[in-house]
Amino acid sequence: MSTAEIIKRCEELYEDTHFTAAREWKAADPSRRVIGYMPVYVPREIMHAANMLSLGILGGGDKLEVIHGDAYYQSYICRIPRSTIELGKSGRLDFVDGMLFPSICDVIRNLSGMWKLMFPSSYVRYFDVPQNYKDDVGGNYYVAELQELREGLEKLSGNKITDEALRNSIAIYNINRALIRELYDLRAEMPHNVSSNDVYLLNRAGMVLPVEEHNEILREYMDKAAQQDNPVRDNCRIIINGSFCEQPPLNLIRSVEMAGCYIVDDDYMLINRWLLNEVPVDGDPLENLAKAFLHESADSAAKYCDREEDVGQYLLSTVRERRAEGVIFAAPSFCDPALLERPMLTERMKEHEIPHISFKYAENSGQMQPIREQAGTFADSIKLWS
Amino acid sequence: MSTKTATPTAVESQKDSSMLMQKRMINSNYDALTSAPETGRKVCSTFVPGNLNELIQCFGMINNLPETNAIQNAMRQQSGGMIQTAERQGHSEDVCTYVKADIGMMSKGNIAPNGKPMPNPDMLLLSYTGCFTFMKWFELLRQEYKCPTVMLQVPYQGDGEITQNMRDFVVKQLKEEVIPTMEQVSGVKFDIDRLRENMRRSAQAEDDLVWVLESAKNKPSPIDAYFGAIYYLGPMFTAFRGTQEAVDYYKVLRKEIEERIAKSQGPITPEGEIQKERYRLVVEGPPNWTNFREFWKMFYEEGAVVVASTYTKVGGVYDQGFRHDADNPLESLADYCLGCYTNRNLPKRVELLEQYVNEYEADGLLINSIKSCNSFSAGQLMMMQEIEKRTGAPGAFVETDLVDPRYFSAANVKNRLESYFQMIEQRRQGRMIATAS
Amino acid sequence: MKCFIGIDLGSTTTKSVVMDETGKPLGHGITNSRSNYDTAALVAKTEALISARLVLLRKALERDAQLTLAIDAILEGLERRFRLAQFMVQLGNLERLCSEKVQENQARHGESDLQGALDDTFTNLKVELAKLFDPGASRKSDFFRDLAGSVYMEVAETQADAHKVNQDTLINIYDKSIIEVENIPPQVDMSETFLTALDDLLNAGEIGPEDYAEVQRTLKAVLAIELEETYVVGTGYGRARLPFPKEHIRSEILCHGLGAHLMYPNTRTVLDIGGQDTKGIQVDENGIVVNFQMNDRCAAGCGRYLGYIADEMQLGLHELGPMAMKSTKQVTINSTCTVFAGAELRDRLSLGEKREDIMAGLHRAIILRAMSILSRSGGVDNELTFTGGVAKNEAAVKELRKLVEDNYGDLKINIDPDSIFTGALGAAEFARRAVEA
Repeated sequence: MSTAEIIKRCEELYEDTHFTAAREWKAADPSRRVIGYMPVYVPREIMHAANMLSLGILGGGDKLEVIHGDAYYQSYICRIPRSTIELGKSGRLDFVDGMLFPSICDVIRNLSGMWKLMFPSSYVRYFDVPQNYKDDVGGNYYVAELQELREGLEKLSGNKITDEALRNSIAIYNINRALIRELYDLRAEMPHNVSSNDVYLLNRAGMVLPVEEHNEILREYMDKAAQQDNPVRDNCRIIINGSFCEQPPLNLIRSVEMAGCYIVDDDYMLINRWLLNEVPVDGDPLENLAKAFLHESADSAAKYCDREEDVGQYLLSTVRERRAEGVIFAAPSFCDPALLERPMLTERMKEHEIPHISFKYAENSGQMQPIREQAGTFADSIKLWS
Repeated sequence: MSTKTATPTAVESQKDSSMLMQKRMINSNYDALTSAPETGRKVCSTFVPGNLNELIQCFGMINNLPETNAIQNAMRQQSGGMIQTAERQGHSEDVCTYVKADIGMMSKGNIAPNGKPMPNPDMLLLSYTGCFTFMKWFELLRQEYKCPTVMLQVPYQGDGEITQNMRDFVVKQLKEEVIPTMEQVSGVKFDIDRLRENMRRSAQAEDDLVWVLESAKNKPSPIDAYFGAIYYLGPMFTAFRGTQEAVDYYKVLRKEIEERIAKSQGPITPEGEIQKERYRLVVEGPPNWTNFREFWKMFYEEGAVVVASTYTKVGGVYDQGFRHDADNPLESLADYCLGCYTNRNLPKRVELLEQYVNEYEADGLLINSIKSCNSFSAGQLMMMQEIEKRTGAPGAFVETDLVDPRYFSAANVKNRLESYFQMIEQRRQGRMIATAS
Repeated sequence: MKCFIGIDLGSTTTKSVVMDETGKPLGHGITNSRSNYDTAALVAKTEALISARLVLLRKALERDAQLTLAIDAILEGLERRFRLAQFMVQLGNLERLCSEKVQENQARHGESDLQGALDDTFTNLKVELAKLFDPGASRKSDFFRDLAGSVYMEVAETQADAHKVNQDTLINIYDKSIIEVENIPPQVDMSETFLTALDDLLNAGEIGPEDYAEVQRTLKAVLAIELEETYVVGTGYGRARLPFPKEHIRSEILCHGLGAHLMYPNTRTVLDIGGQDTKGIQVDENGIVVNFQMNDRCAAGCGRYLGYIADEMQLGLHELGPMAMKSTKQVTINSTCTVFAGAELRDRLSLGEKREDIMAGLHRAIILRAMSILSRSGGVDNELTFTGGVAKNEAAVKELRKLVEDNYGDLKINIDPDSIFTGALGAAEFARRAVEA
């Protein structure tokens, strides 16, 4: 397949709110189970080891018409829980055997309880990750949480999840993480060959495909993209921050690039690169996952920063690594984590004289003109002053 | 028609006892805070849900609660300007107004309600219970105060129960994070017996508080368990749980309520006693503070009495049996934090409301949906539907905010409340006709 | 005879219904709401009483009159003449107030021939406006301000030029006076005006002498019937400002539910989309409201949204529906926020989408919002009655039918062309029941 064909396939997966690919995967073998999860992070290795597909649920995008979901939310609550309920209520998730709701904010937290009330027969788990990063404090708690998840999934599938299976899954996800890192490196190196549209859609494919297939797609895409020779545009290099939960519409991402900004890093689907390094395969697999989480994981506003001087350091180091010239803080309207964190991050940007702008979006934002204008002006101002 | 004929003697006697006591206590804590630079006492800032007052007191520190400061500022019509100040500094209009009022207060010189400057905290105790915003709030404050900050993560009851793992995790943090930081900041060695003593007093006061809250099962109810109960909860939710003062306060309060029941008296309001109880309501959600009196008036004018509320459980759900347990001090503190209302999952919250509607024989459930507070608000429309389905009592939904005066539309709220009360009345008459025929 | 009157004071119009002792509505009256709520209510009530007289007259004529002309034609002529007389009284008021303003203006500025311009304007106005009441003429509105306003603007322009005075001054004078005119309570003597109107019919040759005598006899008998205002109930958003004692006020939700029940006894759900809010109301088999929900604080998706879109596209409000009906392709419009809708609209147009397809998308967006309110109130499981201004919009109705069918099955949807009187009808019935009880 050419890169265009690969991306076309990814776009079809992205637009398919009925999750046909995942349905087909499940239908191929009656013992298979599918577990949905919401942003930001869940340990997919455990699902994988249980012969389950973990299905990333990132809302309904800008095409899904929300009929039922709005009935449950006031106007001051973000969009993703509405469209997620719509997916559930409209039967689009009827093949999903369980849902995981990570501890990202109070809206998603409460959605876990709503899900229990709406779908009493489904396996529903609120996945509370540690905000204390000491091995014997937050670590012990987290290992026990992972163990509970493991046991819950064992019950659901009727199969034991062995340490061996977990180690194998960790190894496969290590490959996936390495490939995603490589993709971002490639993007930063040759943004003209690897568009932000492509990076986004490749990441999205990882939400709905088995990891093995995702790995193949990534490999094939990168091998071909690296050989392309697209014209380099006089764009500035920016990082998108704050889009880790409700996703911006693809049109928005394209608009930013068209307005003159290469997005050289982002936080759209952090789960693909939450664990920053290879997770050791030897030893106790749950402890390895826990240690990776505590000490070598990405940053997002949903996480507690235990040292004041570390606030914003992750973003700053990404700026340096990617040779970015500016940061666009793009957060969903009413997103508590991103919007509460934003003043702290902009403060850091100011200290380091990194240009930045902010705007808000919704997953179904329809008007791109203001976005194009802001991003365009931002790009111009960076070029003018650098 | 009038339900607000003031009975001066009742107001006087109330003012003479529990109400004055309560006011004195709250003021005394502000005085202790603002005089900390002279007395040398250390200030510990923390949150109402999951606040560890018994522990803070072990180290001789003073408890400062930013939510309470925001409330005080709102009731004095100060919060609006503070919020706008924070928004001008780059804080989003979408986020919690408690946070913005607090940050705005800081920019305006951090003047306490007693008019004196509030000292900077010596430590921030991030009791991360039931509210995501708390975490970022104290990260923001830490940036300003640069003082020791300790996170106490309280896992959420995702499955509606406290597991041993959750309890162990909280206890471990108490032992390894919270207590060592407190020792270091205060210079006082931790004394578990002192903690036990405090907790024993907590339990005593909690018994009386529960008695007071449950007195609303009487008809007529002698208390308003939302607007009125805010005052009753002041000492328990703030700096006084675990003190002898709190024990004394709740004794006096209980005695007053006992008298009210004996005389079949309704609740006291700012305009006197409610003469005729016409509607009994359960309320979910925090009150609005900028227009607290105006909001309350919309109820008592119509003879609507709140007989149970969930807001009065944010600082502990004592009526479901929890008591601070001096025999297992740290485990009990952990259970206290884990059990607060907003740390319970939605099915459990629905169960509690259902229980309230039934046990307090309420006419309906009113949800005051607060823009600032997603912890409370996200999912409330589904909760309302569940309660209607389970109890048959009608629900109503109004929207306000905590301390943002821009978000209180009196005409709107009043229109809905009136329609709701009239609907209850009409349904009641319809039922009477139906049973008569 | 005993009459029961309901008055619904809405944000744009005030409606009234007069009901007889048996619960049958006799007359309907409507006027535009205005700054003086008293007057708005009085005008609406007077209009309803006029319409009640006409209904009574029709009945009497049908019962025992021997006429050559059709009753419809006679009544049409009589009402037309009556309206003209009423109209001329108001025009007289307008002229007097305008004249006063001219005097004041003259005193200050000593401007040349303002009075002359005004006099000629009114001379022309009387002629032009009287034409609106010719047989067969159509009127764009029933409200004095709408009719007088549009003609005044045209005539004043010509007269300003002819008399070399500032046109804006003439228009300012009108703007100030019309508000005052509207707040003058109705002064027409009903009996005398009706009889004069009949005389006018005879004089104009619209009715023959035999018919005239017969109708006059019947009319006098009908006018002699005393329409006793036994009980009045007020409702609507402005109800609190009606000069009624509290027991004469009912919430618009209750009235709306009961009114819909009277129109369609099998209805269990009412959807009302008005200018400012959207309501979902559930009623039982007796028309008693058992549940209701309104749009939350955000008024997105209400009738006002369509008004805003009409302005944005420089179209009349009535043109939106027909345009949307021409759509062949559904465009998804995501924003029901009035603030963002304009931007989205322009974005779509610039992308080359057709106006009719965008319009269809907008109508769907409104109905989607309404569907969520319906769902909050408990859904639809029997006949649905759709009321309010938006119920007159065919594109909105089409979307509603589609979405109700998709989500709740094939259910009957009632839409009454007079649904604007639903609340007033319910209020009148409440008045009747208040006396009956």
